[in-house]
Amino acid sequence: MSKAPDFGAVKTSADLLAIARVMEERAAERYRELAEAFEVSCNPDTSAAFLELAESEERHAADFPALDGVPPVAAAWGEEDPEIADPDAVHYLMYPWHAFDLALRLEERAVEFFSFFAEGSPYAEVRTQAARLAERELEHVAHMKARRDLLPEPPADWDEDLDPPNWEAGD
Amino acid sequence: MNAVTYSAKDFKTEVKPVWCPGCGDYAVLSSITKAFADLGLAPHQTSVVSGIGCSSRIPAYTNTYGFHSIHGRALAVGQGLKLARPDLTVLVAGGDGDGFSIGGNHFMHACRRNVDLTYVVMDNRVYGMTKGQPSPTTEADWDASAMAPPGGTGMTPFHPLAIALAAGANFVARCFSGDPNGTAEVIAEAIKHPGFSFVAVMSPCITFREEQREWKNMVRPAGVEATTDAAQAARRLMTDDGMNMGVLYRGNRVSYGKEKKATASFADLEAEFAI
Amino acid sequence: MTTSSGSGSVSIAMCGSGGAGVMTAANMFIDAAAEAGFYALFGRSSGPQIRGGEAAALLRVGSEPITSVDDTYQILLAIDWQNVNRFAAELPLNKDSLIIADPSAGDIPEVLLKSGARVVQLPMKDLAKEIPGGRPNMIALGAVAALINFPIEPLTEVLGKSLKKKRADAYEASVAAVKKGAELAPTLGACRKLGPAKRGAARWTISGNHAAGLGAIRGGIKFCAAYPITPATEVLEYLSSALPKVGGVFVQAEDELASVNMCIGGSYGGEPSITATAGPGLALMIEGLGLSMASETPVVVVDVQRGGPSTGIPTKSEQSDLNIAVYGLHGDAPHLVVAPDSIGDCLFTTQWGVHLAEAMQSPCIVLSDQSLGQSRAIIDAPADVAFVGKRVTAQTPAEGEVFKRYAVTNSGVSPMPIPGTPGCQYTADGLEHAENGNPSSQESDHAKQLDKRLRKLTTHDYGSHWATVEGEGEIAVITWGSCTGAVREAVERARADGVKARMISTRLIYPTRPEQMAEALKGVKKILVVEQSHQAQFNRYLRGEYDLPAKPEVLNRAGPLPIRPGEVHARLLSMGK
Repeated sequence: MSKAPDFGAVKTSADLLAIARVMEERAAERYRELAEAFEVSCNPDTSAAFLELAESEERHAADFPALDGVPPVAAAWGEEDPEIADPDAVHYLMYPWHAFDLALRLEERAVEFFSFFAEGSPYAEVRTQAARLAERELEHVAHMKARRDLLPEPPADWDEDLDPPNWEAGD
Repeated sequence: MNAVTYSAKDFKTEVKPVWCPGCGDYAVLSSITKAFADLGLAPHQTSVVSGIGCSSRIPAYTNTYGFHSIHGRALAVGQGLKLARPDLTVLVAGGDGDGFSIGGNHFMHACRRNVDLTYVVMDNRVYGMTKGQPSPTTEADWDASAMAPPGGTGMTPFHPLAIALAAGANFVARCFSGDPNGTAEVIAEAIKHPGFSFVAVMSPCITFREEQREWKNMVRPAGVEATTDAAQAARRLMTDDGMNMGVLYRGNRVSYGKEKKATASFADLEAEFAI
Repeated sequence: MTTSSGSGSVSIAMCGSGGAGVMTAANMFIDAAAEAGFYALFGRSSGPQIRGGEAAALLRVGSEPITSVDDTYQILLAIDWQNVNRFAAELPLNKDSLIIADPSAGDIPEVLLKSGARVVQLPMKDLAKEIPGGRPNMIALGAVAALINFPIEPLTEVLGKSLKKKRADAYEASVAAVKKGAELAPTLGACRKLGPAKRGAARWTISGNHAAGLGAIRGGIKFCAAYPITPATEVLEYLSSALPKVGGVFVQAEDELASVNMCIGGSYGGEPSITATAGPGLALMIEGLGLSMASETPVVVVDVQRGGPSTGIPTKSEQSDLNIAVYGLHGDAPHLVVAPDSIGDCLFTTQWGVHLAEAMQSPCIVLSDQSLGQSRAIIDAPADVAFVGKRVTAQTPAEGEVFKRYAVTNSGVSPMPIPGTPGCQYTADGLEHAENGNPSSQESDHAKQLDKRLRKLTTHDYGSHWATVEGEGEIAVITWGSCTGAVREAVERARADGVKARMISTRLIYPTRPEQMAEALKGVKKILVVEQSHQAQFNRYLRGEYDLPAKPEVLNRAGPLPIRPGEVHARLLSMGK
């Protein structure tokens, strides 16, 4: 469900930087939730991968000036963020490779997001800042691709679990 | 007015959810905690009450005065709490099995009674916790279950929104867990709205209803504004395809309950019996 | 009843989580054991996650029938150690045990090492990687089998049956992995071995819940209204497919209130009816059972007991619904309560329960539990027994006669018409009534009906099925349900140690059998009651309802840990001094 960003709400470079910071922080939060979820699902390798991603997003967030006050409304949540509840994004048997692949796609979406502003914002300083941020995200994309490709692609039957769903998990 | 403001994170506990990764309920948990935070509520003045089922595990994951009660009785417990303690913000949560099967009777009467609370149902059209039996909202022809006959149950799915409306619910909305921001907004509005607010959230079960991954391609914002005309809302609900998201109805009923105020002493009461 | 022999069996626990496939491996092992002519018992323990959680498969295999867990596991194999602390208490080991660990799984939990068990490494994950399509659980299966002298052919045969259809390469890979595991078994050192299998009579593999479902059908059940609840759901799932096949009707109800009342409706119409539930559901059905009792409309409810009270521990076994099963109905409301004592007995006792309910037009609660219901066993094929539900039906009365539905008879059972029989129309009622069925508040009617409803139960001839009485001695161990297997083994061990004891395991909980119990307790000087209830509900029941020759000692605790033979054995030895 992708909506075009609200260009009118982002008037200054500071606005855009605030959004960028919130995006990184939210991504970190989501990755941490995923790390926990995979710990509970007894998939420690993927849990560790998400933890690594969370820490990396936190480092990215620290690049930006700290927020004061309420984050801008324009940063629509749920579209750029890794969604723990997205059935297509996660699977309890997924491999660390899948986690980095997911992160890669999210970085690519971030590039898209900032490119929209670089091209379409009516405010010059926003366009300039957005172009810089898009460049930065492109670096992240490259880095994430390399990180992902350090690992072998998972086997074709990675999601095959012969054990049935646990019918003992009742209340 | 709270001197301290709480963030969504403050409304979560350390307890890690046992839901399958990819379960829609993770997003609903986030939506609920975000709604609480956006409304400026305090964890110690909020209550999450549930029944039994995967969705009903949610109180343990929220930092509130919660109650994980018994199957189907969450609304009864929640109404009791709110009537006794109108100062608390009470949110009742659960799944479609808990809420509309064994809880169906209480659901109907809670809508009639119109106590000021919010009922969030995470609807995945299946009994997840007991291994995938049909629930009241399951499609009539779904038969990928050990308890459904070939060809499905053949029973018309329960229409919770229409029934809520017919029974007198004061606020009726439909959301999708794949839009956690939108869902948080609706839940916040539901809490603010007086009377019984019902929010049905479509929340896919990736273990027993894998096909629900398609929901994200099927849902859409309702093309029309919410109405305050119950008949109009009913017509829309009875003719839509179940994929229109948003607030559908806002009513003007007065919430149930009178202000708690003592007006007599024990002596006054005893005087009735004295000769 | 054949007796089990602890020393000839081997107990194996396999731990793994999320996709490790220990349950699949264990299921295959049981199927293979059945092929090979062994007996076995297979239970499981797991976390609360629906997918991917930690799990332990708990197996016991041997040449004699097995109806209990042993005191310890000879082998504990772990593909990984995820959250094993959750079940560590259910994995007792001693210095004769062998822990087989995958070195990549990290440190072995301290709580398991404390036992003094010997530890060996088996790199199951790495070995599996060397075989295209190979999986660690198959390596584990092969290693464990070879370690205990279990033949390889039944394993490959079972793999063939389940995998060849799917993909031939999966079959090849699994067989290769099993063989690889078997090849490495000698490197793991010594271990208790299985004795040779004793082929003989036909065998079945079945769970207690499925056995109860099949027993119901054999007993003549034709209608089931269901509401799923852990750990009873499998009874209902079984009936949902089997019942229509024999011309019966199955319906999923909206809750337990609906299911018990739908059963009453079905039964009123003449169709023997059943439902299955657990503690919280039984609590809801209590009012309905009262109606069944007062209107004399038979209904069978299988209660697969779980940890209580309230929501309790849904996935673990306990014997704490006894009180509510016997005393839960309001008013003076005697009704049938029976309890199977093993997985195989779930079939007989449910079938018998249907027969009794129909014969006496009474509700009948069948008290099973999670350890019976959700464990699978290899058992001797159960004999066909002639217990089929058969009502005393009323026919059209003669000219001038008025039909009286609740007529007082010698047996206490009043002929019950099937709707459609001319001249016998009546209104069934929970209200107290006169013999003709009209509501009545009169003392004489109430007394007559209470007396009749009690008499029909107490004067029925239950034969020798009321209890299993085995052995002799001045000590009597009285128990019921799933504790029976452990008690039986303990009594055998005590006998070998020179302490003679007899076992009484009651299958008919209510009504009581004072004469038969007195006969069974003749010469007894000491009594030990064994049960899985925190407040020793069975002990209080026995002391309240029976005259016992001695005040019992009690060995009791709540779930989830099963009562093991060793602890009963130790108690018997101290009592025998």
